[in-house]
Amino acid sequence: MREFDFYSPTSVPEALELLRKYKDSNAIVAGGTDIVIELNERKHTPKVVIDIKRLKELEYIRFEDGLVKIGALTSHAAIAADPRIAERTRVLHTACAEVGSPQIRNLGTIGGNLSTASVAGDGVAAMVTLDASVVLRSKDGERTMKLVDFLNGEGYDKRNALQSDELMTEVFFTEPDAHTATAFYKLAKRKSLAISVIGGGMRCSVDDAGVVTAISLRGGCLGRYPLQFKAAEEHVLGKKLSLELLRETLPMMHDLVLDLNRNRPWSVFYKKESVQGVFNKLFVDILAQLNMEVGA
Amino acid sequence: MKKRGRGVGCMWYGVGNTGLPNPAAAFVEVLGDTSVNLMVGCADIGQGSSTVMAQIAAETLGLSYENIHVTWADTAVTPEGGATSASRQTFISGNAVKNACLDAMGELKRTAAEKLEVPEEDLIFRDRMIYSAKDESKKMTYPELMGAMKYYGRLAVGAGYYNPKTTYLNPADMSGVPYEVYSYATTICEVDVDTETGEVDVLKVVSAHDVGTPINETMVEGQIEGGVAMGEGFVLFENIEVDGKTGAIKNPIFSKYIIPSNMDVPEIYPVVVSSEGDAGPFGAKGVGEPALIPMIPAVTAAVEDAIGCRFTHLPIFPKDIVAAVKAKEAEEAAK
Repeated sequence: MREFDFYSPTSVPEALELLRKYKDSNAIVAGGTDIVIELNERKHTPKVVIDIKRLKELEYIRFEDGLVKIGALTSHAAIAADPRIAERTRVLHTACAEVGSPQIRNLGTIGGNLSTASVAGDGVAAMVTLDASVVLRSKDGERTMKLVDFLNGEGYDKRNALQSDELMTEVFFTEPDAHTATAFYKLAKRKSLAISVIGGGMRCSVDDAGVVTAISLRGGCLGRYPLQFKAAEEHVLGKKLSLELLRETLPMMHDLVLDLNRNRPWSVFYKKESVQGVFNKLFVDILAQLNMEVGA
Repeated sequence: MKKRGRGVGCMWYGVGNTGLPNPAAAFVEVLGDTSVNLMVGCADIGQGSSTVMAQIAAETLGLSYENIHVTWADTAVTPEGGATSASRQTFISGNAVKNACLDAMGELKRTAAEKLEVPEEDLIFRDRMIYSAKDESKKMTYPELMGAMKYYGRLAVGAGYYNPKTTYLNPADMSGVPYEVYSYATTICEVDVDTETGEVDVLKVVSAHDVGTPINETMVEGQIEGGVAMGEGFVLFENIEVDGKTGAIKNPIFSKYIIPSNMDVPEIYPVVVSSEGDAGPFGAKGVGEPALIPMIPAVTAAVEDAIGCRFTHLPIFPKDIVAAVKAKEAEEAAK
């Protein structure tokens, strides 16, 4: 018995045509590191599987117009290996370098990571920290939305805003400037081949006087989508950056994690404490990167 | 905050159970081309026992390691070897191999003694040569010996087994002499403990093991390194979760049963200590379990040394460390 029909388009228009034609029941395979497991476990039983791995036009990392644009089919390994990403966008570099295993990093794509939108997706936490946007295309055209809005969207399978005839083609974010530092810390059960317990992401910009002009503090695995530590961000914004100032936010993080996870008493104790340890590491990392601007 | 700690674990461990019979056997045949068929029940599960059995046979017969073809753990043809467990195979199957080879050497010695005209007890079999201990000019090569065996129509076959002197234990209180020999070991380790996240970084481990005579030193080092990794997992990662109602194991897959990855395993300095051999083949003792055991108290003690909290249950997870640190802080604040 044939469980599904398999298509392997070679161009984006061809893929969009197929998605439209089979919009009632399809699954897109990029790296396949999540969807193939779901298919094997019969969590998904689509009539049509569309493999987009041959759409080489969606594999790129471009720095243009002050933006970093990454094709949806770019692998974690390719992102981790890009020296420009490693230099300026440490949060994404680290998240992509430490996700899964070497095999997962070689196969898994950033577009797939964001579309699957796993609670523990390290790429999701990193991209949210960077306030990234995603480009979705269908036969009718293209739409762009903030990743956070995408994640909160109610698309065809309720995971995110993706419609069943749409394909994510790109994710982009503002290129961090010399006054901006980013960092990611993965807390996990072991040092590699592990799913995150907390994936902490931080982005911080300062002016010449060392005053914080932009800040993003995000915690993966602490909620359905990377948790925003809004009170902590507000506490830091507009003040002169220092380790003391940053550490003043730790109790706020503790309280937010406790508030949001009260229904999981078995994990909340550890998470509310360890989230502070995770961000303490990120603070030190960020300050070291901004050394020129803020002093030791 | 990261805190550093050091811990030491020492142990002695019995090898060669004597409380109950504990035998293993071997068959051997030296063929005309000086190759050897050796058959043992001993199961090589990766620890390298077949290599060690071949080395013991080669040493006993005076042939090269390359001459020995080992057939192992095939119930259709190999003799009883007992379990690959209890750190016993080098000791017990190794002795069985030695005994089987000595049995096969009966005809070899008789033939060599006749050809060289020296008493059997003066003969030395070494490095593919047979010579007199009293007059090394009286010698022959192994191929020459096997040619003579063929001429006389003699075959070099042997069977042997070894069973430690079974003493049995007193059924009333299990007292007695439980093992034939003992292995000794000390493991020292250094860890960093993150008091906020509970992460434990095992940095360096020195593990010294008295193995009697190491038959294969590289493999002994490999066993020590493997044992250190397993011990680290025992203390920090590995936990079998059992369903309280059905008794089923809830995490029977390696995505949920966490063992150390390469990135977690520390720098390991194995130290192989040779000592006076006892009843083992050429004085060898077991190292299979000893490699693992002292790592466990060493890591546990190092964590305690780092943060001042004693753990009486394993594994110690990051959440346990954070909870212990918090409890200690609360206790100190109350003073």
